[in-house]
Amino acid sequence: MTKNKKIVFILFSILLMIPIILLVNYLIPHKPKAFLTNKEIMKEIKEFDPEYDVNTIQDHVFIDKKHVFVPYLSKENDYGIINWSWNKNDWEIASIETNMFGPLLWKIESNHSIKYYLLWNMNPSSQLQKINFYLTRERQYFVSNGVSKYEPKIQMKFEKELNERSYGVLELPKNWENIMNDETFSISQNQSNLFFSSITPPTSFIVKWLPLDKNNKTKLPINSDSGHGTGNGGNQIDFVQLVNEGEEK
Amino acid sequence: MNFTIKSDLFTNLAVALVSGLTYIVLGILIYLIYKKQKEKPKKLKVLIVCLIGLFMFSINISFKESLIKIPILPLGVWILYFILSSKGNQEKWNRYRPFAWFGFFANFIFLLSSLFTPIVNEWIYPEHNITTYISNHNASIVISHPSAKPATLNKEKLYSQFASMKEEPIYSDVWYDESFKNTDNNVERFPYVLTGTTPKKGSGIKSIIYVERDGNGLLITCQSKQYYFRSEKSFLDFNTEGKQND
Repeated sequence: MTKNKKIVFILFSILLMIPIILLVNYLIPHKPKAFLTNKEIMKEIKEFDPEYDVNTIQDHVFIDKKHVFVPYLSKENDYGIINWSWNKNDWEIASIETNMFGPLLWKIESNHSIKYYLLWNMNPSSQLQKINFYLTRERQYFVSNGVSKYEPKIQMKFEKELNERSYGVLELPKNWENIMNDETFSISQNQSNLFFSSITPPTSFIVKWLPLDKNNKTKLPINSDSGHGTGNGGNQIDFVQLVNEGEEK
Repeated sequence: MNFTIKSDLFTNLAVALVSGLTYIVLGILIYLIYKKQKEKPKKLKVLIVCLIGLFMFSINISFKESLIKIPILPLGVWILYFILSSKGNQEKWNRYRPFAWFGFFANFIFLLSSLFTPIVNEWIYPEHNITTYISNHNASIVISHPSAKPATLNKEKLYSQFASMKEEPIYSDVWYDESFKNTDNNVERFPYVLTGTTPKKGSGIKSIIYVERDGNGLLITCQSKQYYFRSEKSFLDFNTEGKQND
């Protein structure tokens, strides 16, 4: 090889290395960087969907190292939520909601454990004092091939006093998480274990809520009916529905 | 082939024991056949031939909640015969034939072991014994329905009655209907969940255990089955007024 050829070869391989390094860098998960500044948040939202006109960012609430909850106010004074998650090498918007009626339930999987968080940001002029959260599952029974199965009704309540802030985060009580995780595990086992005929249909827990004023009376939060949201968090983020009548005990 | 046994080798001790034993027996048998051979074939090739010999056409039958494969046609043996004697080289085929057939024969050993596993499982983890599902002493209760009376678990009463508790049939449809009789205040028959329990070590059992409202019953819910046990005395201490009439 002549000297020239050598140089060309080296240059060429360096050029080839750069995209490879960039690609590897992109594919390998990185430790979360410092969270975005308010300015960066605004910019990201504009790129994500210019429809969301964020005016004031109220707070950055770290749920864990990789998940951040950002309550904000829009230019029309609507209260909203942006959920951010660290996705390998970047902070990404997991969901964005504006003018919300009810809380959100965020399911976060990490280190083989599943945790659930309730998030809300509601207009303070609704004058809510308290939110009751419920974990429910319907009563069911099955009889097939002489095998009987009975699933008791589950209805648990957790009361959350609100403070002067319009927003908040609440991890589901440990008891709830234990029960829910047991159940999700047994369902996933059923699916993988085709050999065992299963008589269990996937029973599901539903988290519900009820807002209350200072007289402990039901009080629905004020919101115009133009609330909307988008997300790319898959089915990890869900709306929490209002409790059914007769279930609020 | 027996990938299923391999994949849950460590989820259940009984499966691990039986399949471990099966592989040891297979190893010994292969070694004995190899020793008997006058012309020694290559060791690695012997293993490959045995593996290919495993290929078969089988009929799958479900028997007592598990799938059983009954070997019918020795596909692997045919493939090996086709490959090894293709050049009219009958000698080569003769050398490997015992191992090819042994591969097919191994399917019957696997069949036997799959029949044997539930027996060992039942022996280590008796299905109708509460201690299979609750092996530790850290249980506590959580109220899971508002119709429950405030109560605490009396561990002593619970654990001391394990031996005498009787399994009873589950009348799921009756229980379901009963809970709606009282329309304005529906009453749940099992309004508590027993938490903090661990099953017997190595059983791989996952369960939710519900406690009956009178504190005498345990409804153990596993993936595919439920077990219902009743005790003589209530193992709940009710906090209010001391009375426990429904």
